[in-house]
Amino acid sequence: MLEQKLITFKFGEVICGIPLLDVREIIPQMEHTPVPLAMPYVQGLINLRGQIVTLVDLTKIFKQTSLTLQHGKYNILLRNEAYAQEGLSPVDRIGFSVDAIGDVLPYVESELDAPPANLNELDARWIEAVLKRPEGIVTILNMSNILKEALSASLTTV
Amino acid sequence: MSEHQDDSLLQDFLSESAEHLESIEPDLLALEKQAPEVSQEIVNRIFRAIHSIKGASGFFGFERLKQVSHLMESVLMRVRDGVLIPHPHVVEPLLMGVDLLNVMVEDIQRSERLDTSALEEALTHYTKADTPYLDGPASLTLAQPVQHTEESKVRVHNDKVNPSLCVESDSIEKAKRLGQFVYVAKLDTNLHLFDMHRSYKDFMGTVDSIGVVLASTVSEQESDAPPPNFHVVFATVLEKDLVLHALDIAESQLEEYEVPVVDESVYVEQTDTEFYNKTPEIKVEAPSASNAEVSYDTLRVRVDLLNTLMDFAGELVLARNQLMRAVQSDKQLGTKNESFVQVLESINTVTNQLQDHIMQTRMQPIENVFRRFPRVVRDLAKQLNKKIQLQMIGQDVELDKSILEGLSDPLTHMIRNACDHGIESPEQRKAAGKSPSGTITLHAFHEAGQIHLRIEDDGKGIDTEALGRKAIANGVMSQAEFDDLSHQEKLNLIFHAGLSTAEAVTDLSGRGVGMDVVRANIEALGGHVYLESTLGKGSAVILQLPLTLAIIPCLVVGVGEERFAVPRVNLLELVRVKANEVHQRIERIGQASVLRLRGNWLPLLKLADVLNLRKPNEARRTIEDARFNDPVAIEQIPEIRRQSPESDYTLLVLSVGINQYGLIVDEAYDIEDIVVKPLSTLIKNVHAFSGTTIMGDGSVAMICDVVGIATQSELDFSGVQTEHLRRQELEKQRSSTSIVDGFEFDPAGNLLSPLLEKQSVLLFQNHPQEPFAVPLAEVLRLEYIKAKKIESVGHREFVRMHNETISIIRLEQYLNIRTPNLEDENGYLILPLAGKGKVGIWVAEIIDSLEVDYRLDTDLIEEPCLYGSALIQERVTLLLNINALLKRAGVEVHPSLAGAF
Repeated sequence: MLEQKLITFKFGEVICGIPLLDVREIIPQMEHTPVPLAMPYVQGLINLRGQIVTLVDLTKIFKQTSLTLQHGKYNILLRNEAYAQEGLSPVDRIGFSVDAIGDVLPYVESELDAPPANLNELDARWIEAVLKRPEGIVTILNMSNILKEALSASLTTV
Repeated sequence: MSEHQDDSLLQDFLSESAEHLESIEPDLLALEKQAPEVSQEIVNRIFRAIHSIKGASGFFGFERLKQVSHLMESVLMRVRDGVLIPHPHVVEPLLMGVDLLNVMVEDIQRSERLDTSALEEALTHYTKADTPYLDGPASLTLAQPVQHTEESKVRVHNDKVNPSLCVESDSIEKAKRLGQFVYVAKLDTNLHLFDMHRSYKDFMGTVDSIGVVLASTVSEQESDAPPPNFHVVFATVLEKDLVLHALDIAESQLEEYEVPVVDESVYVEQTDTEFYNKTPEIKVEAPSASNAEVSYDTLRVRVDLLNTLMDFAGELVLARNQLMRAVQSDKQLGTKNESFVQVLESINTVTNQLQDHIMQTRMQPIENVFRRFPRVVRDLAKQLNKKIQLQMIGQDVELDKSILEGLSDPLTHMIRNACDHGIESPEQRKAAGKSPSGTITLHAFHEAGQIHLRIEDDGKGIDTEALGRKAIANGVMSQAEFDDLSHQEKLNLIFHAGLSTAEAVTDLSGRGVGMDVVRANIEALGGHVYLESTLGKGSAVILQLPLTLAIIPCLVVGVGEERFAVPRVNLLELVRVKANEVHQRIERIGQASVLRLRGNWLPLLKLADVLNLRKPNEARRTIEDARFNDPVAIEQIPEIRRQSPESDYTLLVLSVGINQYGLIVDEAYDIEDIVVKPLSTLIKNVHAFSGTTIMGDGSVAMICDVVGIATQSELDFSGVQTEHLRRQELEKQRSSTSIVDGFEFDPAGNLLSPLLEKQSVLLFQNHPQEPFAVPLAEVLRLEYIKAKKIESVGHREFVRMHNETISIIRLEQYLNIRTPNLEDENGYLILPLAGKGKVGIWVAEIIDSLEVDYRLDTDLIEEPCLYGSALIQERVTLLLNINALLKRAGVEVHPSLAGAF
């Protein structure tokens, strides 16, 4: 069976992961410009080598969860090509803040478990699957749903 | 239209056509491959391309071009309808058509003289419904009546009577296999038939007797009356001289027929000497040679390449800014090394020029959009039975390509509007005393770094009342609301989505786009639309557009820790209101703060408030908050704050269409060229911003959308404007002089010190050393009151009089003045006009009412409720600002009774 790789990261003490191939780049937290009046999950904008990247606090999209960003030491920038279907335009660089970057975990599909109804108070629609590992449970985020939510909310709200 | 315009129009048409033709060829080939399954998309694409060539060639009067493209279009139509399957034999003539069109377009001057009949004939076959060509003939070749040698030129007198030949190439080949010669005889009917007393039929009989006729330009029907000259192709075993003898014709009339190669030529060269005389500059050459000589002084570049260049230019500008800043902040670097500074200077210059020129690559003259309008107006005028002239001014004004593209539809709509609803019929115009022919003027010009477009007609104007009736009928507003609107606002109803101008103003309607769409389109381009109209005289739509969307000069402003960029095009001026002038120059009307600026009123916004930037714990009260909302808060404003420069107001005066507003910021920095980066989708919903940018120091800043901010804050320009106009009116009524409220103002709205006119004032005093004055015009009446009649509730005092309760204001509570001598507690109440008889100012003693000259001194005494001081009757007298006092005392001042400034 094909081995795949996850990049893992932490919100507080909760370990989450997304497919490694969806990640363009990981950078340490930079000073960002807040955007007044924007949706609460928009942390701000950073200048990454002449390109403007919108930083998002994923935990604020989750809303109902007690999962929160502690200090946001790193930014994970997404590969736009991976999320073109969700309406991410190729020039729209988006990254999200995490508290810590963990290992790259290889896994095979059969190791995955379906998401439980409620995990760490995280709604099931934000979870793709979970992966049990000795170091803890890794929550694989459903970035597709998360992005869709973020993009649609910011388009509809005035 | 001038020759020059014609020329550039033509050039554009030619390069466009060439582009179309380029795209058609691969599409045709794809179509051929797909047959019999046909992709509608491809067919339509070809169809559109051909159609636009046809349309434009008709416009320029290139009949040949039009004819060929028309036939191609007809064939394609049948392909599209599925009647004709694009087998190779169908596609072949289409491709030939493309070649032919290419040749024509390359040398448009001679296109009219091309012989296209063979192709036309071939194409016509496929346009006929009954043509059983679904499996068509095996081959089809164009006849080639042309040779390039001087001797063999075809004598052509008239294209129309010289149709060329259509010879099936396999019959030629067959003849050649049999060892026959194939000849073409080119004959003059008069010379070779009638002069020799033989008919066409006789001649053909003779030909038949010596060989086989393969083709003739004379059709069956024409055989009795052949055209003046004709060609016959025939195969025979006879040598040339024998044929000449048999047919009794001259050698020059007969030549061997060559199977034509299509590419070689479709030219018919005229030997007509007149032709050479007329256009001696045109050299007659083999067309294949002219191919090689085609040269362009323009180059087609992919737009995305230009965009990339633009991006890099933007980056360069940024890097330059950073470099300049770095050097400026490090003076040593500059002084130490003279040559370094020079290098920097040249980098600076080159960057600027590079940026300019790259911008120019995207610029196109607005003529590209304008040029279609003469036709539009002409057609519409015809259709509507009106006489309309179109004037176009400033066609050479250049605009960014992207803006230009977005302009086409809204402009067309407005031109249509002007023709349809603006200009009246000749009869109506005559009746109105105008010239029967109406004029529409399209005027493009630069102003203040923006492009202005004015679409003006001298028609009947917009009937605001009709618009109003419509709006009321549609439930948009009530009659009362409508009556309250200014003329401009009534006009602006036309932008209301629900109110079609057509239905409201005339009986004509039924077009897709309304003015609301026009406005949306223009605003999407970063522009503004506004209207001017005088009923009976005409109306004008004015568009303001940015030159480009990519690099714009912006003023960088600071609010708290954040910096924002405000596009300079929107910035009219920067105003600093000193802390001690704030109370004089900033007022409130309804919910809005306004600033008096040169006699105009500017609604004010605080950027910090608009953007919700003020942190809750430092919700400090601003001076006018305190003054107008909460009298208690006045005490909380420390005197020092009122005097400190931090409380000076820095205001940006911004323009939004014809409106203006003031934006209060903490700090105004420099104007910088910034590169606009689009807003991320995630923050598109924030209308206060139009984009983002990277500042010289590398940080990201938001670009403010001046219009968005006004809309977001629901800034009510009309309220302020109406109020302003109303007060102006009031001012006129009150005095014919420029004196307002008894005090004079200069055009900038500043209080003038020297008084030029005599004023009636009421003099009074509370303390013998402190005389006061108020303009008599502001006083409703005076009442003498006894101290014992004053009742107090809490710390407020009242007196009942004539069945009215009058609340009492004591000056010493609001002004830093001496308290009155309390021994004499009886006094007077001054009831100001603005208090509507419900408020009285308690004064100890009325001195006099008199007409005086005085010089107002604003520097000596600074109190919010005082205009200043003046020397009256040799005494320093304080001039009381009653409105300010009433407001400060929390008395609601009815706007109609408030001062006129």
